[in-house]
Amino acid sequence: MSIRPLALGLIALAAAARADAPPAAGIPAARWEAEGTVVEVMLAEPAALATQTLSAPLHYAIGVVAMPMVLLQPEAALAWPFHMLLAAPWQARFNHQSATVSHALVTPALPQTVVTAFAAQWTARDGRPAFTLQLRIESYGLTTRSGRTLEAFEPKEDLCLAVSAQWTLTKPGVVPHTQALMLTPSQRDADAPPPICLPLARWAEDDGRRTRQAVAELGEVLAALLLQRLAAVP
Amino acid sequence: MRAFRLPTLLTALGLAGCAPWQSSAPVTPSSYAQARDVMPRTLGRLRRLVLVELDRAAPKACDAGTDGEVTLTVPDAETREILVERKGYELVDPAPDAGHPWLDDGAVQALAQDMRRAEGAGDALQLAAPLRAWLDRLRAEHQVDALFVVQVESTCGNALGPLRGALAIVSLGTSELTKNPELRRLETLYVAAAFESASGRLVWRNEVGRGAKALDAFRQLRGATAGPSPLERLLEPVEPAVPKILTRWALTRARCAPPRCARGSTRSSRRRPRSGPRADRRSGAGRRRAPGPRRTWGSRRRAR
Repeated sequence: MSIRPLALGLIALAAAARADAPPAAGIPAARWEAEGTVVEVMLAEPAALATQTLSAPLHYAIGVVAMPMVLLQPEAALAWPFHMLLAAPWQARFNHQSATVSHALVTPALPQTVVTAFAAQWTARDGRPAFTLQLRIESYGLTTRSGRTLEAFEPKEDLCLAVSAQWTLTKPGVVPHTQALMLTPSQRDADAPPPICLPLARWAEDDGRRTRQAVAELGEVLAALLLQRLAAVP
Repeated sequence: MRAFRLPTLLTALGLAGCAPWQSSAPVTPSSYAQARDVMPRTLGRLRRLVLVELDRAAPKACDAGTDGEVTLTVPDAETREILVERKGYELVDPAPDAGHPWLDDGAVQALAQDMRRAEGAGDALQLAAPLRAWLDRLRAEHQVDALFVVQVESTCGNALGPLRGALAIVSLGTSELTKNPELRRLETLYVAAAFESASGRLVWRNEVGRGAKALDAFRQLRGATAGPSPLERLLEPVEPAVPKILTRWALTRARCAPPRCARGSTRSSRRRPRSGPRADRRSGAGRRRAPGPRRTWGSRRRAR
């Protein structure tokens, strides 16, 4: 069998399997209004999945070179760690999973999800004064438990859907009330559930279905937390 | 390509055997009526657990083995940390000062037998009658959704009947005459299982330990640093629990038949924070009641 087509194919695969660009910023804010009560949710930063490392191109290059060399001289395989031989297709798979998850994190948009859940859980004001609630989501996305960047060849480290936000309650004649809302692996409010953590492959399976479900549930959780905290504010 | 089909199939079956088993039938939580969760869950819907840990000693066929006795032990702190802090479950402790006063020696042995039978039993397995009664009581008084059992078992290859039999056949019986130190070497097997309190049936099971030594050896060859602990490997596949803030407490009483389900606060409901602005009015938990005869849900209705 000729080695040249295989080598050319691997090089083409490496060139094609570059990481897709992250989704464009500009996720719109969402707003809901009822009986004079206004709820606004906005995203300060776009959803992020920090997965690429500086070493990724090096792994790529080694994989593209190593495979044909191994086919020419099989005993050369003994000199290479196993994952280096499959660096190019492995990196390509990782890039595809990252792109799938990045896309699923922003469709549907979290601000709209939170507003929809808030409207569904909201009960009538029952004579309480109208207010304006602003939720500013300062960071949102998938992060490792340790908070560091995920590398393509890490042994199955979990990624957790994390969010940190700040909400402000404004009532007429009252000083605005501001409070943080944390739901991250390293810092979590007492009334917030732990973030959902899964391997990247599970987040990406079925075109990011699990990611979309987790984002929808996160919207429900944020809305429920806001309602609970609103009830506690005098 | 045909030559690869059978090895591929066998490999896939082998890998599938390493994954935890989970019931495909829907589960029935006992601590809440409805939840606004979006992710599909099975075990995760049973968010209030009573945790029991069993320790099974090594049988006599192993080095330093005794009689394979099963004892109740204090649950490992790592187990609590994973289930509560990472997965969001709520662990119910009916009697924090006395351990499990209702779980006597007979019940412990029955539970150990159920854990043995759980291997490969699937949905068909139900808890033994004494355990069902104990779990029903926990469900009625503390709104427990499931019993979660972690069993730590010391064993060795010599204790596995099929393996021992196969070796005896291959060696024409000589393996029974000589002591094989490799087969007598102790290894630890971790098994976890969850039983739904509403029905007593098995809904989830996982096992770690068989082949773990080979996996650890492979990991060391690759130069990897310390991997996850056995308890982490056992419990990481557990589904995240339904967030407490998305559940409603209101209709729990409807699931209990009087006179066991009395209105008013119990110890666990006093400790349990309420979720949602309307839950306080509905549940009535924590309200002060005028002294008088103890009423049940049914008798209050009749008084009207």
